[in-house]
Amino acid sequence: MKIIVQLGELSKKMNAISSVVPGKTTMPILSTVLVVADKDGITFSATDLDISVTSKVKGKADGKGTLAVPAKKLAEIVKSLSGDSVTIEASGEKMTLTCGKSRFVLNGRSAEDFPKLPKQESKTSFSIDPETLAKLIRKTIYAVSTDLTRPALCGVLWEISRAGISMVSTDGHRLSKVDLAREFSDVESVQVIIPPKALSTLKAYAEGEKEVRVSIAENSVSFDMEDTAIYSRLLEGPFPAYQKVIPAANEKELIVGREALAEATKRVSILADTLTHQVVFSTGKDKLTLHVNTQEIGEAKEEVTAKFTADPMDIGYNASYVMDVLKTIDADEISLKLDRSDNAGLVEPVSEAGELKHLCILMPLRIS
Amino acid sequence: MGQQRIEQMVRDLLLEDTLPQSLLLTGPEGTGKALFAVDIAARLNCEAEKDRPDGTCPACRKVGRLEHPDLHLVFPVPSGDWEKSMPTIIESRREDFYARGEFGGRAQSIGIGSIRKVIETVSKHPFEGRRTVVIIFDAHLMTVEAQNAFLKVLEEPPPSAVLVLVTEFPDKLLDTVLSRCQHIRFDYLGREAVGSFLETFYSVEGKEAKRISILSEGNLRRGIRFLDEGFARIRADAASLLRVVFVGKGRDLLGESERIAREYNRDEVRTLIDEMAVLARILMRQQALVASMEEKKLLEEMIGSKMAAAGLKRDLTADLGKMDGALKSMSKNADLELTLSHLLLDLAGKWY
Repeated sequence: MKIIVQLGELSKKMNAISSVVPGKTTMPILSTVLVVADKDGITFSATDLDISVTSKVKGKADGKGTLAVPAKKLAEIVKSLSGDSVTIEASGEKMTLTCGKSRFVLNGRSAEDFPKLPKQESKTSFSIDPETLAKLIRKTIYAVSTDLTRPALCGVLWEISRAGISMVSTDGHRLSKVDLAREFSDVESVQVIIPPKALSTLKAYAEGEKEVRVSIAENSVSFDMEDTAIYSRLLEGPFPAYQKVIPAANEKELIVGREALAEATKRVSILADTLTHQVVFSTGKDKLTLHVNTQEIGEAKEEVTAKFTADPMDIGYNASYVMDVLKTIDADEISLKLDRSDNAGLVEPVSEAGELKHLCILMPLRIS
Repeated sequence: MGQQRIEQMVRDLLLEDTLPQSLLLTGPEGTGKALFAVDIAARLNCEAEKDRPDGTCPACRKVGRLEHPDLHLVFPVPSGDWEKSMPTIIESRREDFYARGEFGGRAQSIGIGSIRKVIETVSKHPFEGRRTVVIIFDAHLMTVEAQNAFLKVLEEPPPSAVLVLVTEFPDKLLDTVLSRCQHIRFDYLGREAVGSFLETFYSVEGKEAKRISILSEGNLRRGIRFLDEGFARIRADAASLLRVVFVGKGRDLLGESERIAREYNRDEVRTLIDEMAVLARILMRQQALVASMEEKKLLEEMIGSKMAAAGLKRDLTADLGKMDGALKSMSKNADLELTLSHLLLDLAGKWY
């Protein structure tokens, strides 16, 4: 196998691939990158078993070939080269790179040893623009649980149907749900749980792409872009019945400016308890007062203009959770629907334009 | 592997697709538990249509090299040293399946961090195979916190996961762990099994394999250790110590104790006493007239016919009790030379 590729493109793709290669691993094969050459280019693949990324570099090839070579060394070599094009040759378990007057021979391993990238038949697939996808990810990824004793919560639930996509994440203290109402013809209804690492990697790779093709198989999901594809294993379900948690009868509505509330929360939380981050929301007519009173540290108070018609009430929240929610809502004003001070509060944007519908649930803290 | 009963049972369970997902492989050292656990991973992920594992498909070869993406191995490591130690020990296991890992005598355990990683691993679908297999070696070294953290997953593993706990000491596990696993008990292997294993996988010549199989007493791990040069030295010294005991010269006994304590470390001395006990047991079988000709010949080769005859006149049950006592003292950190000199003088009846 012999192939000539542009150094600039090779270097860019190698950079992207290298970020997936794990530093320390119990499987030495994972520190290699799989190189597959076919008639119109060369594909590099790397995996840490959670995420797998393949990236294609176009070039003129002479014959086919496949080999696994040490990723770090290959990346270093490519980075150090100068010139326009690189000739890559593979024979046996050796790979030769020639660029100008430099020549490197890298010892590799049989491609058969490399973990097989998921090639399952997809149950369903659809295309989506990266901007919307990034928004959907941003609005849900922050609420993913890190508690491994409930593994299904350690990912984002994707509910895909012809009428659109819903994404849900929760860690038991808060929940975020975003619905995209868009018609996807020929889509089978499926529910899968995708690890957050796959989604953050996808967000980074999808920037600047025209379209992302999402394919969901039995055990894995793949995101195909122009030259790059990302694969991830799915998390085992089932995801808890989150619908039961969404309050339907919260009738006391507080409407408040998003930015004003975010800034006030940030300020008063400076004196919040370092463990609970508790800030108390006291609703009153046309205002919301935020208090923090931590015995060892001190107290803080700030008023924010708000609309509230029900009887005054006090409710405690974790300030960082409040700020996370406010960061991801795209609206000038938010509506916080309350019931009793020990019931979940429902946060929604007051006016929402477009296909996205976002809601968040915040569990209150017992006021100390 | 010489565990036909268990192999048949697991094969049947796999055919019916009813293999329990939490398994506890118990039994004495060297009965093939660890190898069998890896074999289960191969059976579950082999790409052949039937007669799994075929041993030749890419999945079987990856499992054989302990490098299958759906095979996860957990070993005890010094606490707080997971990141560095686990890759090292797995790497050494790839070269020698029975390597114990060198941690400079630091206590090893399976901490809650390792178990959290297991929980994270099994929460995902398999990467390329059908089932994710996690093998916890020396599972009795799991800390109490680790065992408690493991309970939920052991009780109800995700559908694609199979958890295999391997230990010689199930009693050291919490009852709550024991009750969540299906126990598979391994018996001592027959001598033939050890011999043929060494012939097949370690290319040991037939006659030598037979000799080793007698001395290994059905312990596969010991059988494999016989191929190690360092172990050959220990074995030779065990025979020479027995000769010194049977002759019974006080000065020689003390001289030898001093030499052995100087030349060997604690683990090696333990092995040496074990080897003396093996020879004593062959003598015992000879006393009871149940030893085979091969055993008799082997013993004469090792300690000489005169000494073997002397040994037959001894109270070997008492001798074995004394060796056992010495091993117990050593596990309580008793001084090596004192323990050895006490044992040898005691065996030779030289207490004045």
